[in-house]
Amino acid sequence: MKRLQPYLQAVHITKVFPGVKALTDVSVDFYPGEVHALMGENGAGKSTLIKILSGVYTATEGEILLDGKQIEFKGPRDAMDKGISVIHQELSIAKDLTVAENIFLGEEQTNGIFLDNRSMNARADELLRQMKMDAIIKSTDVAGDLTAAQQQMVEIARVINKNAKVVIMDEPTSSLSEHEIDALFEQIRILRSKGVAIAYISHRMKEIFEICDRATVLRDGCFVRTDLIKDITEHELVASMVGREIDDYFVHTEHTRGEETLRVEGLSHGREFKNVSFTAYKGEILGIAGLVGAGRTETMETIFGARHADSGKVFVRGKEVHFKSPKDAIANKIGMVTEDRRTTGLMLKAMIKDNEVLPSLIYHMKSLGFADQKWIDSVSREYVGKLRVKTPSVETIIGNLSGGNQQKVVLAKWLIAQSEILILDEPTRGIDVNAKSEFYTLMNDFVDQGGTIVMVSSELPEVLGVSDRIIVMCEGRVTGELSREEATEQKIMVLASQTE
Amino acid sequence: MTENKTLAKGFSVKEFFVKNMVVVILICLILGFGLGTGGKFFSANNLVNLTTQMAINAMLSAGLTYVIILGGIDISVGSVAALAGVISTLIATKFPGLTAWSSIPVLILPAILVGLICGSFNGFMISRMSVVPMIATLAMQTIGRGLCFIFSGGTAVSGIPKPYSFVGAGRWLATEGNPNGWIPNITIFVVIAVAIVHILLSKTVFGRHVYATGSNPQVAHLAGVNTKNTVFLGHVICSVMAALAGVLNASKLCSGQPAACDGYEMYAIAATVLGGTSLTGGSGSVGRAMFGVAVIAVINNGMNLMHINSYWQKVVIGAIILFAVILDMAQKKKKV
Repeated sequence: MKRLQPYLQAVHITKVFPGVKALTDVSVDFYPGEVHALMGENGAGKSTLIKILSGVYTATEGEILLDGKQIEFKGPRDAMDKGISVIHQELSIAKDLTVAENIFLGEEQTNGIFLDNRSMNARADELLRQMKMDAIIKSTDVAGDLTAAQQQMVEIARVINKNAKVVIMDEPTSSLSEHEIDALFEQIRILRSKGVAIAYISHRMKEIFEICDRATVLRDGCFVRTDLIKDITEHELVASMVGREIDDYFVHTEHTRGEETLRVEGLSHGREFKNVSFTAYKGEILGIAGLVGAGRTETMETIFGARHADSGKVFVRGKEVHFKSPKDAIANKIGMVTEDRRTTGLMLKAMIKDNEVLPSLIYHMKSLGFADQKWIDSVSREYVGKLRVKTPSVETIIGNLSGGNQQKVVLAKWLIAQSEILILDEPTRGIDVNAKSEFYTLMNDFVDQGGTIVMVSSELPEVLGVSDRIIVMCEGRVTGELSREEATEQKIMVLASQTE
Repeated sequence: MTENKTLAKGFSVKEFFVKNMVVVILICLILGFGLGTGGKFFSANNLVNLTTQMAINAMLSAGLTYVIILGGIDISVGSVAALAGVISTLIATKFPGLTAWSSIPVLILPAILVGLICGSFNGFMISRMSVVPMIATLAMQTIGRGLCFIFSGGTAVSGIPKPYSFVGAGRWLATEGNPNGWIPNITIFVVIAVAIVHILLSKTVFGRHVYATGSNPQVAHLAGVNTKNTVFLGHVICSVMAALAGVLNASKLCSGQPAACDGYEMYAIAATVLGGTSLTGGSGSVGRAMFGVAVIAVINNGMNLMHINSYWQKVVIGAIILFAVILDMAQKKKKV
């Protein structure tokens, strides 16, 4: 690694919000041609630091140096003009505009007062050609018709077009498939070879070790360490993020398997899943492994009554059931934590308590259909306490909580509904290490008290670490079943790619 | 995905029809009324009249297109139009010696003033005070209508010099067969005004920022677009166009009615939506809204020629709007 002058430096930055100290004396240097991982749990101060570096916030104390000179950003636009671009976690694409219109948004080229669409389109196509994306994306395509990964490529083209010197990427892979991540890394390597300084934020260890050169860890708003990736192990990184040594953050306790609670026989629907059969028992966590697109979510949604099968039977506690809608499943004490909590798991703009009691409301009505406010207040407080949700009150708008705390509220919702069978679809996606560990403990408690969990997960360490028994699906079929003792990453991968 | 995209790029008759539904509806209506009226619909005189019947709604819809693309709505356009009409006619009564040409500033200046004030009110409330567009413009609608009655003293403004109607009712190219003239001034005025706002929206940076702000305000803001100013200016343009429509209407009728243009916002919204502008913002065009204006005008005109009860016109227009929106939804669903 060439020893160069850092291009962007945060020097002794402190940021105080009313009542909260978000960052305390944090210093980080970003070198040209280097991918620098910013790591830490949710709430560690990464987002605040990014916002200060990109001109959204101003630091309370400390300074920003750009190319060795002290600088103050007047706003995000000013930072952008000075060469600092951000690729946000949520895609920053106007879906109704074309690819070229998005690339040039905010800095359109004109002939006098009229837009010069021809030269903007030509330049956009040229950029896409440099990125080797010209076969897939055209300048005149409407951005909303592209896949999430392709839209991200458009964002990268925008960054290249701006001649950005620093690119901040905030969890850029959170909505990408394995294959798409490779394509993204290809672009990151190109940017790096051009001498761009890249700040990379991700929770995924594997990616950090694949693409990053250096890593800085923050914890509770404080700087912990900066190391070259080649000098540090995954274990050390995780340990410094959570502030304690954790040998194994997958908490597994021995469960005692009871009677059968959920049995599925020959469930089929079109091409999504075929002849799926399995049985789940009281007091056990059944893991459903497989690759994205294996039909696992569709199968679970069908069991829960949100979809309808072409054929097959579902038995709950030994009795055959025909759920017309999730309402029937909930009446049978089944709960489902969906894959995407922001769109299907929570009412983001509502209060915590209203989210918690939604499925149970009809069972706690007073006469004339009035809601039982007293019950709502007491039960919602009780479960926020039991699950240790970090929030000032149950009246807080849920969208303002961190991912881990949001997920606890989703779980509380089903516990309040007195679910005995819980279907969890990617339950720890996008939440940090500590919150994951806490969530696994809650899952174990639920099972110890006689509950049944069916957990869909695409993260192999999670499936292996948490499940008592594992079913593997591939292309809509069950391709195998493994006990906790016999399961290994390799065996699962073989079954998960066992195409017909 | 790639395969689907290449397939979609091929020409599909069905897709053409769905995308250009408003044009297809318009052609069907024109042919239908042509047959239904035994050709009377196609007479040159009727077609010229049709353009004057489209004029007011064309102005309102062109301005409203900006606001709807921005993801908002403006239900005050009818009141703003009436207010401009009342103020302009009141000024005209102060100039008994008004001539045809000198009537033009008496129309345009008060209209621009009223449009700037009302549009700034809407724009300020929505972009700076974060009032929901429906409520802000509902307030403007009620306030504007109240001012109409206050300024006019509750009755129509009287004593307007005749030349005041030059722009709204005057025509060029008189022939023996048509002593009134063939080319209506109001049509010329509207074509120029609509062309200007069309070009402003489709060809300039400001226009591009209107689409971006309507499509996703956060994205636009992060790209350095001043979204607040864009929303503000969109409302100003909408109100100025509405006020100009109001003075054209007053000039056409040579009368300042405090109750003028009541409910016209609904026709303007209908025309804009028929023209394919999405009520959720982000897409649409002034040019296409004009097809929507034409559809509504053709229905009214054709049904009048066929002596169909005018109450039925409302029923038919309502049904066609619903049909167009359902088709639009079907198209969007397919995309997702």
